[in-house]
Amino acid sequence: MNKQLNSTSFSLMISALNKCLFLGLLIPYMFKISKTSTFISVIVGFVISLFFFVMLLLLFNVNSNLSFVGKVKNNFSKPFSFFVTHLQIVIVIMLASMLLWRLSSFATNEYLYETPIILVVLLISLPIFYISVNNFTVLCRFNTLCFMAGLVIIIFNFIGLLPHYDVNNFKPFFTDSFGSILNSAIHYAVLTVSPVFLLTIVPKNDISDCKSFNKKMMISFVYSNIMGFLIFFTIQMSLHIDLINLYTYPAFTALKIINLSNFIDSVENISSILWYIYITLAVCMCVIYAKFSIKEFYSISNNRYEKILGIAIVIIILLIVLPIANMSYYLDKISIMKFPFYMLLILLLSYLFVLIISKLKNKS
Amino acid sequence: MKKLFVLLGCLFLLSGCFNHRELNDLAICSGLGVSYSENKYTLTLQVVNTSAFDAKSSNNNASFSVYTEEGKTIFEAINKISKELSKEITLTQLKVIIIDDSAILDNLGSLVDFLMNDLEVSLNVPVVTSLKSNPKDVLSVITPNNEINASYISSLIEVNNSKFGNAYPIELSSFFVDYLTDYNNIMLTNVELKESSDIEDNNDVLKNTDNASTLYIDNPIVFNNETVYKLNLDESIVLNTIENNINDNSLTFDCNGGNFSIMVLNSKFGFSKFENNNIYLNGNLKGTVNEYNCSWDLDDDQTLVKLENVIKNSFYDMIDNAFNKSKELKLDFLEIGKFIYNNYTDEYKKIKDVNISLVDFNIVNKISVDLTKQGNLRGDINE
Repeated sequence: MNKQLNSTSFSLMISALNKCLFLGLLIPYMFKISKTSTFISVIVGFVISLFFFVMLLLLFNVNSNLSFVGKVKNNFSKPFSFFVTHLQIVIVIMLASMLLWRLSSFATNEYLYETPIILVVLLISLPIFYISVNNFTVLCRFNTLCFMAGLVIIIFNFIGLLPHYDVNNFKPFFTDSFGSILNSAIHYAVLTVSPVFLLTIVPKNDISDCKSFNKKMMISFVYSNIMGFLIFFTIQMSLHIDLINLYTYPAFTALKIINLSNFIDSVENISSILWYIYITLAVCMCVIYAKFSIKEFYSISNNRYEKILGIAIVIIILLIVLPIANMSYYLDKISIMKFPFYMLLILLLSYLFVLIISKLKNKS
Repeated sequence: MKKLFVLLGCLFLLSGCFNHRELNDLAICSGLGVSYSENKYTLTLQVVNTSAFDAKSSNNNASFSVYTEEGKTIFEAINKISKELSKEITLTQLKVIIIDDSAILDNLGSLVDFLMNDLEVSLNVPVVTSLKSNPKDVLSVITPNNEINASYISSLIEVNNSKFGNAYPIELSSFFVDYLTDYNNIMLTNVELKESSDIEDNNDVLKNTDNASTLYIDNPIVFNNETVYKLNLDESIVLNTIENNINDNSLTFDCNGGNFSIMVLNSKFGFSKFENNNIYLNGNLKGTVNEYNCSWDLDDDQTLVKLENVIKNSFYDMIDNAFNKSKELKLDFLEIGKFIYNNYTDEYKKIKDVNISLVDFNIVNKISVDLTKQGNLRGDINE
């Protein structure tokens, strides 16, 4: 790993990872389950995710000179570390495949409906190929550039939809059951915080100004969740809940009604770049995570092998995505949401397990 | 490796021209009209005549053409028109959708399904109806200054809504919500054609038109499963008042032997609570006297109070009449059901059909009126 990383650019990665599962997954699911109480679920979900995020910061402090794989190798037996590392690699590749699948089906459903899906997937994969053969620093630079673009787009969307805001869209208040609000909140917490744990592939000591690390990470996490809340809030303020629940991509549908002074309209295609940025960054992060995990577990030091490994992982992801790319409309079968949820829950628990055991071992 | 990526990049980026659509090959639709009879949709499309806007050509072509076809589905009818035009039809620039009462009452589900599924139709397009005329006739009218008819209708709605309170502007997204929710009745602005006898009285209108008809906005129409009812002007004003949609409107009231007009500066109305089968309506209206022709002395401080009372009483009467009509017809055009659902969901659930139970409700008004100005004059000119 490179020591050119600073905590600011590192912590900004949270913004993309936190929201990568929003499009076509978390947003429609939460609105379907908790309906008009979704904004409460987002707040409760944030509080739950805060607990996991503190765990993440603690995990960074354990053997801070080692990456997560290093920590596992250091504190566990070889068979167990083999199991945990490879389980995580599989989950991360599955996560990347799912993200790429959602993004390609979004592009196909909403505007490139005449273009063959293979071409759409390959087009989206190009920047992923480029970033994945490079290291984490390149990804952070790309993310820092995109961060400002993302901020501008979210604020523009928020302002653009202002004339369409209707408080009645939040009504009736508190009519959904506590169970559905909690279900929705837990999904929010797991699906937003789990991808952030992928950052543990970078040892804390590799970050140049690690004194302010915790503070910047916390600020970035809170900021990212505020932006997440703003996205949910904006959708709910501008569209009626019955309308939201009809669309697979309500975040995109809401953008369709932007019309500023009868002059700026039909900007949904530009505004939806936001999701391309977040998902592309998250897929790249997954690939880099898998690549460095393999590299570190098998102690590969050759740069050429590392690049080949990156390309191989992207090809594996493409091989998973291409056959399922046409399966676009699925959300009515709500049970399909169980797959990413349990997958990411296992990922999250594996991190927490490693954290607890490592802490205990260090104490003893 | 880098060269390979550049080549790959070129290959994929240049494929952006895949399935491209030339502007000249598109039929750009500005208006869409739908009616339904004998299990068939009649679809009318108003297509922009791009050559009419060509600066080089000196022709006097109409700015649009109108095409009508029938089909078992809307898509089939669109395809027939597309075949006739030999162009691909695009609905991205739609300015108005006119839905005939036949399509609303008989087979609205398929139409909503089509509009929701179409990726090109903007959710901001105004949706209107025409009670007396059919969509084809409305979309075929040539407007003053050869303006595109659909844009003209759109401006008409805007002007009528901001000045006269007889329009009820509904955009496609709200139309969908009205269709999806069981507590809302579908209400639409009514665009009509003037009778030829009306037009003869107004020669100015004829100066710029090639057609013997012209368009106007009539009072809104409310639809139930079987019923179609046209609101009268007072009911329309009450509806827009409750929706807080009458700012800048001019209202005229009778006074002691004459009448006076006010312009509404600010109006805030709304249902406040639902208790013991009573709906409470609170409101405040601020306005300025624009024209005065009453026998009371406007210089007298008490006159403004008297005028305020006149306005207040008129509003009480208008609201009571509208509410009673709503009860009589079992049509919830004051959107009371929506208020109860949003704020008293449990009670709403007990009431299976809010329209029927409206019969048992009473309305309790509490309205205040502030006439803050007397216009430009210091006193009464008729003094």
